[in-house]
Amino acid sequence: MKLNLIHAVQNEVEVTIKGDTGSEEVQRLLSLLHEDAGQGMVLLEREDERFLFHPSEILYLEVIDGKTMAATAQGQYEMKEKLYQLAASLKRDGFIQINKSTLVNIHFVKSISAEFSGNYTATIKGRSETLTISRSYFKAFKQFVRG
Amino acid sequence: MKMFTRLLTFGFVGSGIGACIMALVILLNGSKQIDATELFCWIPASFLMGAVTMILYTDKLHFWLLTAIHFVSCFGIVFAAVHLCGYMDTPLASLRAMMPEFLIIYIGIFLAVYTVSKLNERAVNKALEKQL
Repeated sequence: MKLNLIHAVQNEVEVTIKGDTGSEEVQRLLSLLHEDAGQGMVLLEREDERFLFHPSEILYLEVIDGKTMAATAQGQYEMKEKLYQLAASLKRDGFIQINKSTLVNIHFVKSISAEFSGNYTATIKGRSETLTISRSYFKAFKQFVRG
Repeated sequence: MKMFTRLLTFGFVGSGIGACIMALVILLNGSKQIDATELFCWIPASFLMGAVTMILYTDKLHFWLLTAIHFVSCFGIVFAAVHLCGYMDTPLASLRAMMPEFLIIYIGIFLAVYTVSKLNERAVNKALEKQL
């Protein structure tokens, strides 16, 4: 494996891996980046590009058509992990499950409002979209928010 | 298996509530004794109503549709129990006697659910404000 280190003055560190992206070696490198170099970062993908994000930058995660999608201020990204794995690993970062297919970052929840249906609607800070907190997840959500 | 255990739990809780109501009825109508037919009618009826209540804890349907299903199911169970015990002469008389009571109970449930959800909303929003 050939390693090139290029000094550059820029805010974000850029990692480029050139070679067979499907190979075991590349996958191992990605996993190392994800787990070690990331130091609590999560690996997100968009249009064949991969990005490292800190969980605090993610507004919420939801499963759309079987894919785990992460909503950030920069747009939507895809994640490889399943929602139940993320529910466990991101709990300490403030993520809580609010319905069968959504995890929300509590630091981005502006307010909630009770619906006629018995569910609740969560408003996200600085965003127009709302998320549904279903009745069966509300008790855990309430405990989580109240610490 | 988990579902079956849950169903039994709800059923037995229903039976417990039914037994308490029966005890209350005996206390209030001191002179009237509850016979075996009534006992073997109301305890299983209470079990069934408890088991039906389990549907209110699912997210698969709209809450108010689930409430309507619960209303119809419980009404049917009580209607059958009333007839087995021979309290009313005709089905129409049973309907007339039961409907207002059921409506009052379910309106009470609606108000209780609405009040609790508004209190929850306030408590959570207060906690969210503190986090800012």
